[in-house]
Amino acid sequence: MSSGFDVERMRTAKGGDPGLLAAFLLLAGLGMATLWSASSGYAISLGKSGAYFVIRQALYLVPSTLVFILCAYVPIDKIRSKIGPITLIGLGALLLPFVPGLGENRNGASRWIDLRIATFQPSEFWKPIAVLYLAHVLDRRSSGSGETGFGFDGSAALIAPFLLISLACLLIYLQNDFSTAVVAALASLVVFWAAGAPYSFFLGIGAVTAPLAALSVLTSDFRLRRILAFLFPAYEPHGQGYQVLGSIRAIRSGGFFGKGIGLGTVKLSSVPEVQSDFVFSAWAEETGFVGVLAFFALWAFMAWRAFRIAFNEPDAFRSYLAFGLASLLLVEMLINVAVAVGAVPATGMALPFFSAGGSALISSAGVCGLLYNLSRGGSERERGGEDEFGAFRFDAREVGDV
Amino acid sequence: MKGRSWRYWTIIGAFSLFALFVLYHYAALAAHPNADPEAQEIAIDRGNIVDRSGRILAMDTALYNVAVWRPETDEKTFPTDANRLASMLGLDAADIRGTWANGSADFFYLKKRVQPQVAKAIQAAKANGDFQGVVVEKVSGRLYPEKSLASHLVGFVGDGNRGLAGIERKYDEQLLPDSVPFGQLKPGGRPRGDTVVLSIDANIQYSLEEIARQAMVDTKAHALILLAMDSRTGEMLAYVALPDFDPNDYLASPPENWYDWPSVYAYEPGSVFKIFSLSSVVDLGGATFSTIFYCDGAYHHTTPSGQVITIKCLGVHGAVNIQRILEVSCNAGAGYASDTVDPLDFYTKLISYGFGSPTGLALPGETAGLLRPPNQWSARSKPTIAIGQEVLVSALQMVSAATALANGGVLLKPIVVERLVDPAGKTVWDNPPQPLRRVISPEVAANMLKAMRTGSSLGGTGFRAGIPDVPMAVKTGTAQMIDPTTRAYSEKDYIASTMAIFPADAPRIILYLAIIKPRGDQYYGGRIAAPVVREAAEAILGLTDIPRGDSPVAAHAGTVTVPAAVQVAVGATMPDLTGTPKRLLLGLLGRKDLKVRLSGDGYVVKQSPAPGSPVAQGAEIDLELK
Repeated sequence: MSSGFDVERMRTAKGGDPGLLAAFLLLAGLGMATLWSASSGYAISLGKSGAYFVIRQALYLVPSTLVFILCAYVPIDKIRSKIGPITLIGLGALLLPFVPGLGENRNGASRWIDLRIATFQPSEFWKPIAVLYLAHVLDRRSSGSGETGFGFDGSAALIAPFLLISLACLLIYLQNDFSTAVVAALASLVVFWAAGAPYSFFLGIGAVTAPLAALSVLTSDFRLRRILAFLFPAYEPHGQGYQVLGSIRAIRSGGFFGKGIGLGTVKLSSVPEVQSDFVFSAWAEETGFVGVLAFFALWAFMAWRAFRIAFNEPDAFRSYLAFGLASLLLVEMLINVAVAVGAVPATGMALPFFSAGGSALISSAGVCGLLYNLSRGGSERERGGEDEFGAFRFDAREVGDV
Repeated sequence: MKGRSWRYWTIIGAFSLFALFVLYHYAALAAHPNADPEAQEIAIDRGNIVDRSGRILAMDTALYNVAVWRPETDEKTFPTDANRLASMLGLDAADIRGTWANGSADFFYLKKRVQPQVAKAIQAAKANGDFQGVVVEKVSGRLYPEKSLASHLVGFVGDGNRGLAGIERKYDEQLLPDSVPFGQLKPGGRPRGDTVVLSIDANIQYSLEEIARQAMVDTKAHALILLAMDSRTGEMLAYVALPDFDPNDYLASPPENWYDWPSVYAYEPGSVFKIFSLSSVVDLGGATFSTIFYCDGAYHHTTPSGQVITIKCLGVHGAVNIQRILEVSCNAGAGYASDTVDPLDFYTKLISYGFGSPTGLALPGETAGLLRPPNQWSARSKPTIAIGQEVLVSALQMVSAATALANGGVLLKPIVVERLVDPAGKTVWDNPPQPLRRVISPEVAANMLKAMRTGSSLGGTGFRAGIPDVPMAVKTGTAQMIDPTTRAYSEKDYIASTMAIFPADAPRIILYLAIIKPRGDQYYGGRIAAPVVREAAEAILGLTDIPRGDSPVAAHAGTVTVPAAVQVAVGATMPDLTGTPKRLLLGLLGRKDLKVRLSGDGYVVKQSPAPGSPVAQGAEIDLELK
């Protein structure tokens, strides 16, 4: 399929996928540049230096790089052996924002904890931990549900992980962070699905959560208004639709070829808080539809390299983990970009690598580190040696393996 | 493990479909970049309006809108924040809290167009962690540094920085284009519309406004128009209308103050019109400058049907020629003169002067006046029009028409905007002087001016306008006004006016004054308008290089005496320092109560504050020299 790609030949036995690494670095670089361009006007309007947000973000590059290296070079098996404590710490951290004196209320949400030198958002870190945890417990070898896969008989093995994941999502939801809860839930469901959970499992979840979701929207004035603003954006141009209308205005003014990097003007004044959830509208204004396509192409390349690992990896845990982590980044990216264009209701979702926010950056760096780690292949198992994105061959080998 | 890959593929498929769905939205927006009229609204700065020497009359400056973004506010601190905001912005704290608590809008403006110092204070408080959820957004606001100077011509803008009146309205698209060519976008600089360069001379404008203001007080008039035009080019040098307003805060003045009298108001001009009607008669081959008419105190005419028409004159003038008609403003003589030409020819000639249609300026709301065609005339229409009644004109038409007299019979296009200049300094539109058509022959024009000079001589109605050392061609007028309730000429409402063209031997300036509804002891144009014209003419002579009878040019002794240099002094008001050499400014630098900044060398070309502005303790004075 694409085995002729140059980076293939550069791959060494121990090294990770240089294509994946290049994609991460390119996204991080573009993200930083776009954040600078997008946020300078807003920063100045707040009476700060134009580089205020980007400098703050750059400070987080140091811990982000450390986390990336840590996640990329600690053997995956070692991480797997500590999954129990990691999950417990992640879950425990979700309780911290509720501790008086530690939690910090911002923008009507209490998802941060105050570490004196910086604030920290535990829910950002829960998302990859959830994927890690599920990939582990849903691997048949560790769940001990035999070689027949999950059938109706095996469903019982899903109940405990499901309850734990639900508890975490509930905690995030109680921090008034609906969107992070949804992303964590979606990423978890992807792993459940990938690991072969039966249809009845998903039907059951749907039957329980659909009414709950409806109830949570209808009981929250704030969320209901967001849904209404999504359906009728012009109805309340200075209310919830304000940010989205401004974002749409910025995207539209970019046209096909954009205004040129740094030359966007609508972003400066029309989109409040452009540096966080609407940074992509600045990218779209300045680079136009061509830039949007290039952005999607870069993400598609990254997704291809990451999914490739999942397809080629003989070890189920590693395969689920690669697939789940790549899906997590994609879900975040797609929802953010869809909100910016008004395709889905407005929700506070950071754009990985682009949006201002230290916790999100560090968390994304961890995800990238794990993916890069996985791209180096298993150390304890025999490496298959196939580099093809060839699912059919993969299947045949898997059958033989079983 | 079987089936793992198809499960992966379903997820990848779902991602791909969703990505396509999102991309489709982006493509749809990119395909209609201009569908949103507000897309560029805030992004472009409005261009400047400047006078002929580049003095800024209107410019964009940063103002701030203060708003609340409710989801970000803190329930505990906002009520106290509201109190502080209310005092900073001059609002009612209870109102702010009410809107906030009501919660019907997550984003609401507290106040728009807030001054920078207030906005900076709010931003500083925000930097300290106060005012959570308060948004300060920068917007373009219009600043008129010269305040009411030429306010009717400059006009003003409304909420969206869009022109609502005057040049701001007429050149709205050029000042604030919907989009700016890509090449003009520069990093770091906001795109800007074109600069409109007016033909107005801010110094003449300022002097004439001062004179007009005093005249308003003296005559207790309802309104006043004072226009000055360069008769060689058709360029308007001063455009004064009173009452006026400060365009920075036009809502503070009653709307009638915004009324653009010179271009919008149509009125019967009265006797001043005789200079056009009589020159038309002579040019049409009717009466000549030597024809004698007899005035017994009224104009009498018996129509073929036996109808007797009488138009009263102000006095019994006896034998009059055209020069004498102008000198004493004889209605009977003007009426008889009009009898010597055909109605249609007479009408056509007046149309050719520009009456009955708007001038080429086409300012917002400009009137065409009213000159009915001869088939709608009554038997008394022609002699009545000849004395400036039964015809409606605008002050702009009067001044424009006078260019034909001052210019050897050729009518010039009136000019208020000289050119448009793009932000890079390139002239994108030029408006050079343009002769429109020949109205009368050069001889008639010259003789007419000569005849008008008697108006300013002793015994002429306009002698109060005369300046001894500059030959002036003057005509005064006192027009009756129709009382809108009785539909008859009013007994107390008049328009007193005066037209002056000078120097009469080589015309440079057309000066026209109309005082609408004076309520003083006097209402005759020769009484109340002519002295004001004299003052205005003196002011213009002082501000231009027009030679005067006693000027050193005329009688040069062969030796040059330089007047002793006097150091500039600044008192309670700012003097006009334009043209002052640097060495005379040095005294100012020693003043401890003023902050004086000089830039450049040579002579003052720009100053701030404007002449006449009050100078307070510690005032900052900026002088630009060249």
